[in-house]
Amino acid sequence: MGSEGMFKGTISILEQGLDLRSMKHNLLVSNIANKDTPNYKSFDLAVDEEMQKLTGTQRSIALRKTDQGHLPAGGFKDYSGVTITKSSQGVEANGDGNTVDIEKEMTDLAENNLLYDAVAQILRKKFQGLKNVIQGGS
Amino acid sequence: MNFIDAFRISASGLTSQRLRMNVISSNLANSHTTRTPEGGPFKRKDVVFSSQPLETSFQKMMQAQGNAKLTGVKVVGVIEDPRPPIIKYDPQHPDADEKGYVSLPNINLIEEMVNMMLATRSYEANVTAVNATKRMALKALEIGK
Repeated sequence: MGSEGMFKGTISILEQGLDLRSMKHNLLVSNIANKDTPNYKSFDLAVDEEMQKLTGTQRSIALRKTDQGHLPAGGFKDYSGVTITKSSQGVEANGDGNTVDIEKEMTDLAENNLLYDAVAQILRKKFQGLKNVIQGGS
Repeated sequence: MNFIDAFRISASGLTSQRLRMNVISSNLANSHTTRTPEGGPFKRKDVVFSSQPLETSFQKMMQAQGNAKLTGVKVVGVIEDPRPPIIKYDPQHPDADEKGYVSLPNINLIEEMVNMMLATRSYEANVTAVNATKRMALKALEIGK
């Protein structure tokens, strides 16, 4: 097993999980900041569905080397295919065209935060396990 | 890093809500002001919010990453309420007209209090968002420990 293979399975999936969760976090924060903006439409990202779609099919973007002396760089994951949904109609409490449901946004924020923590925790344990093996369990 | 955007968006929300609070305070403080530099009674002010995309060259580069939807918020203007002043009969008042009527600002205290509470809650929501972002970023740093 090459060193790339070591990080290909679970770690790669967990990494996607963290990336998608942080993308969702940014959208939620944007919705919260625009809570009182007229005609603002709230955005959402279904992390679970996107994970199903991405797993296995996702390619990563690497920088092309055009010269021998170039340092290797890359490993950026491509998230251009991720669908961000926009709720054009929803609760319109004050009739100003704003579709931000603050209760939903705040609970989503808390939930997303917890799930991010959970994924980060699993990733941490995974690395600890690898470290343990490398050190021969000492 | 992705979280920087989240901090900047929340900061824009906090700034806007604080500005709104300043305008509301000004309305409350001037609820009986009959003299202004422009002449006439004080006119109620209100803020106009507008969502603003995060503008950085880095942001443009990363738009392919699905961040194009991220917008902060900005107060684009402070407008004057067009509602006419409240006319009250008070001949003793130094600013009363010859018939004894005084023009008082078009400020409804209850309306201002409700707006103040809304601004406070929105501010708190943004503070919660900042704290959540901070917790997530710190958790990410713990991965390598």
